Amino acid sequence: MNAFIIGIIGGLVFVTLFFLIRMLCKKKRPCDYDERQRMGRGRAFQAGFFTMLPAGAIVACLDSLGVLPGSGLLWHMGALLLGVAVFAVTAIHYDAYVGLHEKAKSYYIGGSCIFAAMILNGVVNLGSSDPDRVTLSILDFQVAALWVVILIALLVHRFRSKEEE
Amino acid sequence: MKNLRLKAARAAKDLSQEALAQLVGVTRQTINAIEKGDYNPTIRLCLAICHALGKTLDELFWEE
Repeated sequence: MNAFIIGIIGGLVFVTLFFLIRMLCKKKRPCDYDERQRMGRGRAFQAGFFTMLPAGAIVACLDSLGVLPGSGLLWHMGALLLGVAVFAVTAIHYDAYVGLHEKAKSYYIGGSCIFAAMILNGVVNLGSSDPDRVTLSILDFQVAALWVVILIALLVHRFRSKEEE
Repeated sequence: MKNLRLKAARAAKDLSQEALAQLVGVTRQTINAIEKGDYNPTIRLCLAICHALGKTLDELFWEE
């Protein structure tokens, strides 16, 4: 059993546990968006989807031609994360990322924690002699970079919003 | 086109954008966008705003 299979099983277990805990949790967590936000999220999904699709296709073509330097996994994940980043930034631009009953503060705290965890894990694995671990550490840096983009977009949006207030 | 009548009606009720937004269940930015003319609200939201401000649709949203 190699690391990837363990990773897939671990991911499935995590997702199952996450949904079980959520189902068992009685407390309702509303995450509503108003009509303008839903419109904005629609545009954001579209932008993210139509970024991820060609980016993924280009990476897949280049990967099959064997012209991509380094691990193909990183490029594929890069295309995926690019789509997510475009979705997030577009949604933030349309003020449709944080729901009506959510606090932006929780995104700053949560995002910063994920960023710190990813950087820490990446730095720890970067010095490893195992090439798989080095690849995974770069993957951690990619996810950390995504959170940096989201946090910067949130902060820029916040300042703009305060200005127009 | 800016909706100055909405802004005036809100001010007459001494409501901030945030307070009106909470009354009608939207974000402050949505009220701001309606007042600036950047967003055309649905009839449902128009009615909610009218009820909150005690005005009719004509008074707030009808364009001459």
